[in-house]
Amino acid sequence: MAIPLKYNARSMWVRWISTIMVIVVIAGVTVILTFWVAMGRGLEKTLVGTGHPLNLIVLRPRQTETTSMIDRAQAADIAALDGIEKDAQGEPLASFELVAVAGHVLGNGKKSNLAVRGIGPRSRTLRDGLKLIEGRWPNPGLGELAVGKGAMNRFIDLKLGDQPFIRGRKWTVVGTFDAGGQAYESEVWGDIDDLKTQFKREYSTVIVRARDTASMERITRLIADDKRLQLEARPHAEYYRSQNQSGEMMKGVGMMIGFVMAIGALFGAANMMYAAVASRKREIATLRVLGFGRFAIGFSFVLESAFVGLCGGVLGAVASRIFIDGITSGTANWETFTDLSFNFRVTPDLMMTGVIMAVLVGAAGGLFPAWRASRTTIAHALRGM
Amino acid sequence: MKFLRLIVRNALRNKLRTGLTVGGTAFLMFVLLFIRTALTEMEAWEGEAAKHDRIAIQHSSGLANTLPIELENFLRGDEVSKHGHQLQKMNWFGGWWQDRGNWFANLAVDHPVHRELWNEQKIPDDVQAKWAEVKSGAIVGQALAEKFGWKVGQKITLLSNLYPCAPELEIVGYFTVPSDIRQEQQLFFRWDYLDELMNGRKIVGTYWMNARSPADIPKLKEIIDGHTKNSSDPTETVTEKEFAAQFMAMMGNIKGVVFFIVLGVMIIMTLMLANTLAMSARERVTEVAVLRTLGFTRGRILHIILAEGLLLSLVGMILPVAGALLLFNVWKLSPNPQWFPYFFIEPGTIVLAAVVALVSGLLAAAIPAYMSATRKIVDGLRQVV
Repeated sequence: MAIPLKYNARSMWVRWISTIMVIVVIAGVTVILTFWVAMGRGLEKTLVGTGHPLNLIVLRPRQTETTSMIDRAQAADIAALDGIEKDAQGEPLASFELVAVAGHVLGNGKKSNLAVRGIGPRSRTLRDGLKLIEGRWPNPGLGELAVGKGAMNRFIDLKLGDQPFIRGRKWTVVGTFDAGGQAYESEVWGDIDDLKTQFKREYSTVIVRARDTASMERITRLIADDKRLQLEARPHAEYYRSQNQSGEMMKGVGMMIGFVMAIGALFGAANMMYAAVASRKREIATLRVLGFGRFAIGFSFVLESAFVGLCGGVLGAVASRIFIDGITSGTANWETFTDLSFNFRVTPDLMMTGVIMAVLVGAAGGLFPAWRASRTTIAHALRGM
Repeated sequence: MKFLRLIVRNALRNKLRTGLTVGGTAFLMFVLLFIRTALTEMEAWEGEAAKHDRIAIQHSSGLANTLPIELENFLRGDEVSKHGHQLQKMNWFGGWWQDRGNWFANLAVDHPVHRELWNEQKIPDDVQAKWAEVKSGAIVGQALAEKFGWKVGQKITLLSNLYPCAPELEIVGYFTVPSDIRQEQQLFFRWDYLDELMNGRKIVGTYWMNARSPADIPKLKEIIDGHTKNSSDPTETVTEKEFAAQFMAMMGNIKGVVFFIVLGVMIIMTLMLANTLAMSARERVTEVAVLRTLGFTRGRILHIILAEGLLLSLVGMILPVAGALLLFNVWKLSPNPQWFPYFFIEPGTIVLAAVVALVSGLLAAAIPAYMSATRKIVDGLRQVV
């Protein structure tokens, strides 16, 4: 027969200071675990999920948008390949672009690298989820820029109407945009020819939309086989996903730190439960006398401890959701050396992970004390006090 | 000190409880050491860099932009030579060997001046001579060579995502850096060889030189940046320390993260210790009253309990410090060899751990100690525990 839960609830209440301390300890550990994973998830969200599934990015083997180089003739050859989707006017959906890197001052006064993308007439058609927040998209030849909201928040002088000084000239911000959390939000977009002139660069990539998945493979093979080009085509989405090293590392570090701290918290929970068992020796013996089995007693203590874990976990998860979710930060994308802004993301499933960890910590912490409680011999315990 | 035995005995009275508390503290402390060491490892170069008078000349739009070769003549000219010498071109190659995971620092440099400019790198005479002979020659840090098992004479091919070429390098010898083994994780090859592979495009990443004295550094900044100010490639001349610091700025708010974790660990630790100390103080109410009747003053009781808190937290600190020193400093293990070739616990980190332990121990003991010390003797004797 199981021991009524009321017994556990009242016991916890009797030593409420100790209970609350352990709850806060477990909540703290949950917050720190959540912090790291939320950071990793936020980074991941910007990179994994950028790029249309039928898009291909063509660039030099192993290189990135910031370092690759494609000349005009090569770009035209690529746009003429068979299998590329056509727009309403019958023009191939291909965009010649350049991503340059410019040192720019962050809001905190330090410097970081801003990604500046030169866009052509079809750049926006090739991307989903772009939305102007204010103003309009830049026109060619006038040194106009549209700024992603991440870049706008991270760097100075990138608000609508500002005239930032980038790579030797003044530009005018004519619009700001949202990209639904994609990496483009960390970029500044200007006209491709303006950028090519100012940065003295060729195109760096060609982005094409394939008609279907079979065409995707065909285009990839055609480009790989053309030895004159020395280029490769990669699925656009995969290109971004492969840059998520920082996100992976942060999640890894988070899990590791969370694990070690969880062991620490487990010791704390065990300590509390041992004390609880020791102070309730006579009670336990009485329960035995009343006919409760060893297992029921052990289980009752594990449950009590797991409940403390649950309280800590819920407290930690809710606190994380309130205080950590949505924090805006930024770090370097070490593949392109440009600043990538991201939001900490405390999602319901992450909160759930935190709570589960906390319950496990509580339950595991109660395990040995519970075992000790269940081993109590009646005569001994009754006499011992 | 006279009461050390009493304090130790008190602490050991409930060995299980003390063990769990110290163990829990130790795990939490380990996380603190870990996080802080990740920070100091990232900042290690800054500390080393501050010891030298070297300066770097980089593009004002950031390291992703290259500098013109014409600048070299100016930098060798009389105006600059008065204040600085040992000019070197240096390009970050960003390559890996065989597999992307085998990533390490590799740079193309002007070899004749390398040994004088980077004089902490000890390059034997015969190695330097061989390097001058072999155009595809590379010198490798001893530790890096051991890591990859490279031998003198071996040919290795590097691939990069920055340069569209794959230099096949011949290892001509090793160098050592007695002052900082971290710097042995580098490979240098010849700039003229890279330029040959790049068809003589004369790409320069950065120029480095040695200021003749610390007082010359501001003058060099003024002369060089002033000279290029109105050119199409303005420069930013920085000290080696500033050069190193810009990577930390790119990483984002690492210090904020570390502070958050340290604070969190301290709070959690304090609560765990407080829980234990409160329990043991509660059990000893009668005993304390007896001590008081024997003539122990309130102050002495206060000190004894505070000392017990300190003892627990300090032991909880010493264990992980010793463990971490053994793991990271003696056995030279690293949690992530690609990001951190070494993971040395710095003296400053141990000091931080000691301070956190001290503060936590005292804070945790404060309330139980105060309550024990101020309780009236009669109340203490009356109370049934």
